[in-house]
Amino acid sequence: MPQRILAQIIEQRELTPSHYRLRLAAPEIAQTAKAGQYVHVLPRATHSFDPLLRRAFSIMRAAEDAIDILYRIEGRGTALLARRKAGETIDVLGPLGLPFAPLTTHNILVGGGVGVPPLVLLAAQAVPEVRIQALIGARAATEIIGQEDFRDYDVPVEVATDDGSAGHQGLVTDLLERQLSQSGLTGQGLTVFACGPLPMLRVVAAMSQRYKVPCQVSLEENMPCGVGVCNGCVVPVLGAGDDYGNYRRICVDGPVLWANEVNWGHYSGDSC
Amino acid sequence: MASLATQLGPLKLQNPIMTASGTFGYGEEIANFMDISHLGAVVCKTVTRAPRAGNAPPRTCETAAGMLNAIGLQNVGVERFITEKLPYLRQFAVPLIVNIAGETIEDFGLLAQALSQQAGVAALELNISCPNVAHGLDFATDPVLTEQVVAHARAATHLPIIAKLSPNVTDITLIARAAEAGGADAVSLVNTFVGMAVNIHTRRPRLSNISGGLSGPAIKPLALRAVYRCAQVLGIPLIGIGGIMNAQDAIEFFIAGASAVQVGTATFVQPGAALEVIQGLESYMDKYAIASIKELVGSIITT
Repeated sequence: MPQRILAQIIEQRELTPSHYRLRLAAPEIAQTAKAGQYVHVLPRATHSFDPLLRRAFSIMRAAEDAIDILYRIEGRGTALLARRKAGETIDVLGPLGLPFAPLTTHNILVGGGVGVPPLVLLAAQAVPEVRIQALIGARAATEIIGQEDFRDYDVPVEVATDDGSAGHQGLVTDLLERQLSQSGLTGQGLTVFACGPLPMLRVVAAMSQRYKVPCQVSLEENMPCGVGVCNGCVVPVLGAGDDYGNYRRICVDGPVLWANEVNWGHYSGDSC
Repeated sequence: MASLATQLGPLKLQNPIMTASGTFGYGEEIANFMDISHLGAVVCKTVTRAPRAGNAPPRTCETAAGMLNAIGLQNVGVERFITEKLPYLRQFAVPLIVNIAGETIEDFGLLAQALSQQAGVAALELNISCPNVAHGLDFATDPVLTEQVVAHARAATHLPIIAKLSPNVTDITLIARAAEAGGADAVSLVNTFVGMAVNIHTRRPRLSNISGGLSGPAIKPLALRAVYRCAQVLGIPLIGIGGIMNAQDAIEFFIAGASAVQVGTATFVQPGAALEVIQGLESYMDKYAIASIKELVGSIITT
């Protein structure tokens, strides 16, 4: 059950001038959060009204009664969030949304940019019997997210950077193609889990379909309420959709969807 | 303890705080965050005759102290509303106000008739002012059409009727009086203000619908003045809507002449916002020794 809590900031760590990792004291959320779920965070003080709405962040770590989120400064909300300091409290609603499906025998986690965090929690919550390979894409070496976390969980990591400053120079989907074509695991209980920019997710979804590998994607949209009442965060899906039409609210019926449920041809993802 | 008991024509409420249509779904989700039975009334999401898928995304965009939305009246349609949503809403010991919208005057009559036969519907709110669907604003921008649509619904139901008005007009008092003349038991105002936002990097509108309805604290002063002006000329109660985030905001509306208020966008930020407004209102009335909310309504001093 989601809770609204005033969480104390344990640590606000600057990873790069635009990337921050925030650790919050949130026992109620940490104890129940499942990988793929998110928290809805109010970056402003409760009695200011601008920016008005909460921001959604995937939970990256849930342990020792604390949760971690990781974000890049994108706009007014995240800029404000980055100025909050350890010891201050912050209004948090969560855990929200549906988690990833259970891991299978073999799993490939594909994360792009600040899309890596929910995959880190997925690896953290894995039982020892499952095999996991993590693939991380970033613009440059300095912006690689989650590499150390995956190593802590003994998950092998391959990296791709746009500028070649670390790992493969190119796209993380190049690494996925190599894995899918060489691993010989397709059809052997292999599942792909992906979170990242929409262009990356499109390619991951299409590639998984081509190799007949089940694939889950974690999507992002403007999410005014996070609890399913505003119908603002819908994405087009194939089939029945969200009760009324071929849309699904990703706040409560996502953010994780099976890639073959998404109507990629009608999905612009043109969020504001 | 101050009395919050409120009467809107024939409709009796335990307190004057209700949810705004389109911000509360059909209650299932918000029930996780608040005890719905403490509200004055519940106004559920707009119901139309046929199901509507709504507009293509992106449907919302945050703006300065507010947000734009162009959901497009996504809803299950009246038949499924009655079989799937109403049984859930009926269980709460709170009057249920069903918000309805039609493309034609006849649609409003048919919806009013269909819902009048259902147990657990306390009143109807006519959404004659949705800015995000074709012809959605036609009724509430024309006093003649407003009177006609209200009168048509009036003839089709014994239930109290609330006409929800648009602020996107030259003189809202003319529309409010037309609703009263058509037989409305109350008016609710305001629906959202039509607005837009542009992504300067792509030069595209931020909403797929190009324009959307602006809500939130940004519109509160505008809504408050609309309520104040209508309160001067109407003989029926007003329900104030527009950027109410907390009890102070709601109290401004009561003083300006609203007999009740609806909490909308605030629910997106705090799912339990409406209950916090009730608690804050009780504290205010105790502090100023106001025995009944009726003493507060329209108590503005302008001399």
